[in-house]
Amino acid sequence: MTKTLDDDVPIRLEDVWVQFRLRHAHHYNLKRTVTNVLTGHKEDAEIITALGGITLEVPKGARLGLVGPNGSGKSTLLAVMAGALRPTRGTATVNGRVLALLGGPDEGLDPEQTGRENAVSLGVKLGEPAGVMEEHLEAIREFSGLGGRFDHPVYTYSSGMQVRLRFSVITSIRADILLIDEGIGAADAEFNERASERLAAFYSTSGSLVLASHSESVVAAHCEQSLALTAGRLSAHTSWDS
Amino acid sequence: MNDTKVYAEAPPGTIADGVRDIRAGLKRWPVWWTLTWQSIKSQYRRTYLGPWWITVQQVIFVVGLSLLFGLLFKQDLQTFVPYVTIGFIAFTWMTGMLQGGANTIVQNGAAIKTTPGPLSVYALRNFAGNTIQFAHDSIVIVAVLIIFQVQVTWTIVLVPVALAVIALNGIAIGLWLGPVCARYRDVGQLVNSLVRILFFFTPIFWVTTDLSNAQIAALAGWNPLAYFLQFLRAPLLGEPLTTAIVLGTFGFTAANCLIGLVHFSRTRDRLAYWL
Repeated sequence: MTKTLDDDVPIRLEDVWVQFRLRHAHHYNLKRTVTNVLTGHKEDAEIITALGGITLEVPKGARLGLVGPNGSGKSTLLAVMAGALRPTRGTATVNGRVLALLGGPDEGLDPEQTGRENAVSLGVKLGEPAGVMEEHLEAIREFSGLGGRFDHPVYTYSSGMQVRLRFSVITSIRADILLIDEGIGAADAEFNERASERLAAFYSTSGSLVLASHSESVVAAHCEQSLALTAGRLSAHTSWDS
Repeated sequence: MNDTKVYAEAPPGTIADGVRDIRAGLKRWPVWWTLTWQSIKSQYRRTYLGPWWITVQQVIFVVGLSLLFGLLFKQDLQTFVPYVTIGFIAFTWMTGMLQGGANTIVQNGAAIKTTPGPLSVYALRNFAGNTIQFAHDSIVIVAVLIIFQVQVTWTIVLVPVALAVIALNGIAIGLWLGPVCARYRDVGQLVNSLVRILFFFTPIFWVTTDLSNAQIAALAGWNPLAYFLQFLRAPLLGEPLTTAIVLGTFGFTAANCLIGLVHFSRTRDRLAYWL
């Protein structure tokens, strides 16, 4: 992977491909496998192209939306940007600290621990010292709107509450790049409004935001431009002037 | 650039990548040590005894096992109970790391696919979880050594070395067996079956001096756990270490670490594609 020192472009993807080998049940059929070995028949796994040659740049302070139907590659693209998934071809260069709200609503949460304890653990997992997270706790509790429930174990939370907690923790940490996958959808309208304000504060300090959603209106509310993905390829580019 | 080889599942990584990942992983000790300790505590949150349940379970098992085999094999309980206690508790620690290491990548699949960061953390977390449990259990060993008045000799200074060697093996096994089991799910099932039979092929409740060397070699000579266990237990009981035990311990450790480093380095970029 090539590294550039171009700080003005926090994320640069060049011809990024992500292909999975999908092994169907019959690939694990013992009889068929033995027969294939004996007859010299070669059975290839099906190749799924999740991303097919994506080239894009996310400049400093940019607010980019990713739209597209389920399975179009939005989450895979965010995982590449987050550095959790190495492309099978092409290069992904990321400069700066990335924080990502990816996965299901309870991703990274320990159900037996309270919201407060999870806030500290989540921060530690993201590389923040526990002491620093403890200083943020009151602010996180307040922002999440969880009130007394903040000290209840997370297994008593609804998915909306889990999202509130994770969003509040992640945005309490300083980052250069914020990646959000459908994240705020599960929370209610009142929280979404405060979340919007917090995101606005984030990109006003030249943080870069990438937000994936199947909802055009969510993207339009936060982003200045959007890219549409269809079957792993960029299919349309929209920009709004704010 | 476009004529480069196309890999499905990311190109294999270099040893340098692997070393960098392991270094970064070790530096993140609050993630794999502190958080693992917290999650063990939270597993037992709805119990009164908490993590001490681990210790209670071991006491119950060790007492039952010692009495059963001690009486069956007509052993002197004064020496047999400490022998079985150390054997069983060390075996639990080692096989815990073996089975956990096999599962650690698959179990943490969701996190691996969504959270950036060093992947060696998952091998370290498995090591930490089992080692914290062992720390609770080792109180039983200390209690038994006192109750049964085992004479402590200078050989006790070798115990920290033995613990470090077992710990190192516990980390290394997760580095290579975790990725192998993520790619070939059958291996995980095989490991589970092996662990059950390993209990009988490790000198836990049978005493090695009861058998001639040829028989021991046939029964346990292929079993790395037998060497590691003797390497830990002999110094605790004031028995001498044989050359075979020392060579076997260091030979298996070197092989395990080498395979761990190489296989982890080659596969770490591909793990997300196998989950």
